Amino acid sequence: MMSIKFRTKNVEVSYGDKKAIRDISLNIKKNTITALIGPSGCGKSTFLRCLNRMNDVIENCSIKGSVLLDEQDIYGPDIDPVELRARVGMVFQKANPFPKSIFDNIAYGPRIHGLASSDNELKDIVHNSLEKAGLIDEVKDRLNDQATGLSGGQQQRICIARAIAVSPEVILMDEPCSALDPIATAKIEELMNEISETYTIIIVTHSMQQAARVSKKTAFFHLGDLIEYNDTDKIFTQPDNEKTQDYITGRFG
Amino acid sequence: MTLHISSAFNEDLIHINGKIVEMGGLCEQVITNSNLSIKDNNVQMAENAILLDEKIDLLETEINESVIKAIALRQPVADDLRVLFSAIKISGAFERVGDLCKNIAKRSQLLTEEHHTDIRNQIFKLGEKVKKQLTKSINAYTNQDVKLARKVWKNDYKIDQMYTDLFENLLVYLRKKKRVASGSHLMIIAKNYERIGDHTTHIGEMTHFAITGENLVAVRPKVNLPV
Repeated sequence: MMSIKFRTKNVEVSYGDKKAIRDISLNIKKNTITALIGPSGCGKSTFLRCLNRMNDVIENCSIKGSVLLDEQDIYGPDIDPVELRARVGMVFQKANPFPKSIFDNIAYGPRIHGLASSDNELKDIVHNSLEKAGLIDEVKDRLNDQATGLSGGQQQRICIARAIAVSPEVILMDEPCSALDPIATAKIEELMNEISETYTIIIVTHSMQQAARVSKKTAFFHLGDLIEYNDTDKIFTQPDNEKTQDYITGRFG
Repeated sequence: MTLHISSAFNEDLIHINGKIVEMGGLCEQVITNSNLSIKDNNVQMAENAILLDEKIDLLETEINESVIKAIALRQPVADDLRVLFSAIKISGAFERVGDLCKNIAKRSQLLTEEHHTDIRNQIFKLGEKVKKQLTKSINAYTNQDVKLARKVWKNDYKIDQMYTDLFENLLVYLRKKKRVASGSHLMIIAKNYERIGDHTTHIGEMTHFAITGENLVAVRPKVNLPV
């Protein structure tokens, strides 16, 4: 039986007076790709950001309920958000490499977290991260070039390599392919598939087909509520809830 | 059922559904014609059956093209995907019904001997039974009637039983008459009806799947067929 990586209980997030998500209780399995789907404003990105406390930096944002990572409350007093975000990395909609060299982009996290004791160790981490991200052959001869000079798809894979470099346990992806062409999208999806044995991946996507292709589990959100959470195969062939059916078949958006 | 945001997709689905219903109507006509061609050795009915089969074939091609286009353009999921998948399967079953009826009609014209009257009547009764079952399967699809679809699926054994009895009678009859050529045609005609019964079962199964998403996998009543 697969173990649970994240266990959320009755999570409620408000921005000021406005509740963005209500009563979300969800168990996310370890080393599995879970897709969060739903129309714009349904709360899926808000929920995703709860999982590494990215909502902490948003003014007026308050969170109730509990989010357990390996059964430990990530909102507990002993938790350092910076350390947490090393364990739970994030890749955003728009590729956001630092205005630095390819090498320094990947080396940045290991340096600030003190993960390498020597230059050679750091080089190994950078090399391995780029290899896992399927980028090494494309960039190995130009590691000192600016990362911002790469193509959109390559920049997004740099961001994934950057997340991988600090040896996270979980990678959160917030619409990572929405700005990419189909080929770059296919490469990211292939990469997700390859690394999912090592990492727990949670992806927010607006593409039904992408959710169906890459994930094992899918959660459907609507107007701040979790409507249905099930095996992806089941959700896309025989959803239990009529709202899920209406959404995935394009009957409302 | 809520409509899709894409009106073009709604229209595609309505169009495909309409073609399936039309195909079902033609299948009812073709089996009526083949039944009468057996009963009365009616040449006109046999010719009608042959012409109807051509129309049924054309509809199958049209449905296949429409479904392929809808899958390519809309990337359907859930009930939409099931409906389109079932459309291909059901139209395939109708196409086979048309072919088998045409074959029955053609063979009926090779049976000129009047002394086959009794056995022809028995085959006609089997044909009428199969026609009723076909009509039920079409009604189940048209009215999206899960209960009726399940009933059609379950009741194929009744046709199989009739066919088995008829087969025994045919053997006795042919041993007595010693007519190999016409005997072979009669055997194949009876078998064709039994196969049409199987296709109606499949239409029931696919209708059930399209509506519920569940495959009918339970054990259903069976008859040991002679061949």
